[in-house]
Amino acid sequence: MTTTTTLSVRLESDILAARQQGREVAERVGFTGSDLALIATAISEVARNIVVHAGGGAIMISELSDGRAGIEIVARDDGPGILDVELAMQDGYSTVDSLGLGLPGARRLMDEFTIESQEGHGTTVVMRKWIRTQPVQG
Amino acid sequence: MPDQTSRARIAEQQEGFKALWAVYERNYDDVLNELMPRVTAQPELAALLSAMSPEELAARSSRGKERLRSAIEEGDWDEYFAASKADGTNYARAGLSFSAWTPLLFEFRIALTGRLLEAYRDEPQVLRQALAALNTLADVAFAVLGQAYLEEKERVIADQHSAIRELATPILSVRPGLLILPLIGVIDSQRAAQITEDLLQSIVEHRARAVVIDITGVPAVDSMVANHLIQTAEAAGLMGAEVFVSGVSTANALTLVRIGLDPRRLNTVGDLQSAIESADRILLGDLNGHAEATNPELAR
Amino acid sequence: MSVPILKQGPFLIATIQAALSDAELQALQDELSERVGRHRTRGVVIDVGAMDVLDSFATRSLRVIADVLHLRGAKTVIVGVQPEVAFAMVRMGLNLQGLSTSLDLEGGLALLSNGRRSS
Repeated sequence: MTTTTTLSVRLESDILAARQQGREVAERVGFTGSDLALIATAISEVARNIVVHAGGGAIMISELSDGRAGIEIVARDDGPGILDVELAMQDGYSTVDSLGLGLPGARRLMDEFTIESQEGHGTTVVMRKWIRTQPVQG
Repeated sequence: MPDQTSRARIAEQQEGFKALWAVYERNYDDVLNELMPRVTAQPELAALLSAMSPEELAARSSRGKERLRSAIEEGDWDEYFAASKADGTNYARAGLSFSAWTPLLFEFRIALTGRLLEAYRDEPQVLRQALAALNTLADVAFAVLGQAYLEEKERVIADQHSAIRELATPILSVRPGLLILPLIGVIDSQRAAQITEDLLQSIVEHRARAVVIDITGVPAVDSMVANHLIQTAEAAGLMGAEVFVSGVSTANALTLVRIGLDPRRLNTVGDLQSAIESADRILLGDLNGHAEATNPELAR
Repeated sequence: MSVPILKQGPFLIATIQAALSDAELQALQDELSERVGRHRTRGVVIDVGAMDVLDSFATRSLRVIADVLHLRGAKTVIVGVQPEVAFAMVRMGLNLQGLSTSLDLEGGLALLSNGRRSS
């Protein structure tokens, strides 16, 4: 792991800042085109989740270099926590008036996705995406 | 570049390297001349050499000598191994096979061994050190050169694969507003994503309003391919283009039904011809409204 | 109102410049709804060409705007979805189902004039 950028997320304007920052880091890592949009969108979802459902938190964006290049986004909030993570990760589920938390969608965009939440202790989402390397076929 | 272990070995064998260099330096041109026939006998290497003039060859040879001297006498091994690395890369770029250049290193070792035996036959301690240093030099050079060669080879192969992939999935612009994408062969997830990206880009470039994806050439579809087709169709739809899928064989149709594909999610039309006709209807339909829209008055 | 809205014959064209906040989207919805009534507009083109991300919130908002305008008597066409954005949306499982889409402004206006094909 190399550099990590930390952003405080509380207001709606922070969502835009988070995904712009994420895009910059992703470009540095070497992601191109569609992958940039996927990463920015995933960040947008988790950031909005923090703003709307948790009232505040932080997003940490890191460059990964674990043999291959990638990006890691950690979204941490101190909100009420998700009562039933399994249920929340199903499409369409929501405890508030909206179309779902957007987290299942974010999961579909990234290569790795873990979510930990405890009622009363907030939620932490860790997402990773790796640069696709062309396979060398014999 | 040489790893820690190799560097340590080199550092330990200072005496040996000095003894080696003492003999190698005064026999440098001799050794070169001895190896040259071996080089020219190898057709791939000969071809490489013929591209250089005698002056260039002489210059390279003296540069190489200076690099080795600087390495042994001044400890500047980085330059020497950087050159080895460059050689490896160049051999791969030149398309040399592995067996074209590897024998050279073996020959070099033999040529030097003989001369070391001759020079130090009365000094067994020095001889032993010099031989050990020779082995180290040959081994490490081989490792560095080989590694660079391999990496470049793999990169070239990967490039070729990319090119083949691109050729394999042409996106055809048949007439204004219509794109045809014949899918051929086995499609893995990565290729599928690439195809989708390329198609979406083409929709923008050609301002396509209809796309026909023909899967006659796809022997076996699975749920991954099916999902990619659906995603491609939906993404194209977001950009105002309608996607028709043609060429679904009976076998593939059965597979798709079995994996639970909702037939409404894909606009399938029998064969390519029918698909193009369906697409044409869309395009013609659009044309009717087109004239009106291009003559509006702009008013706030 | 931060989103420029042009009147083009019987249609309105709203060009969204960048990511809009909740409040701004609400304002856009109100403005379009009011204008549709005022000019008796039958079609609205919303250009999202400048948006580099269309997440679940933005998608939902667009759908709500279209629904509101529909009830006010106007059809909505979304144009300008960028290739990468479209790719990300479908990967997420988002879609603009029920909404008409076209590649660009010209296509959107043609669609509204034609009145026939819906996506």
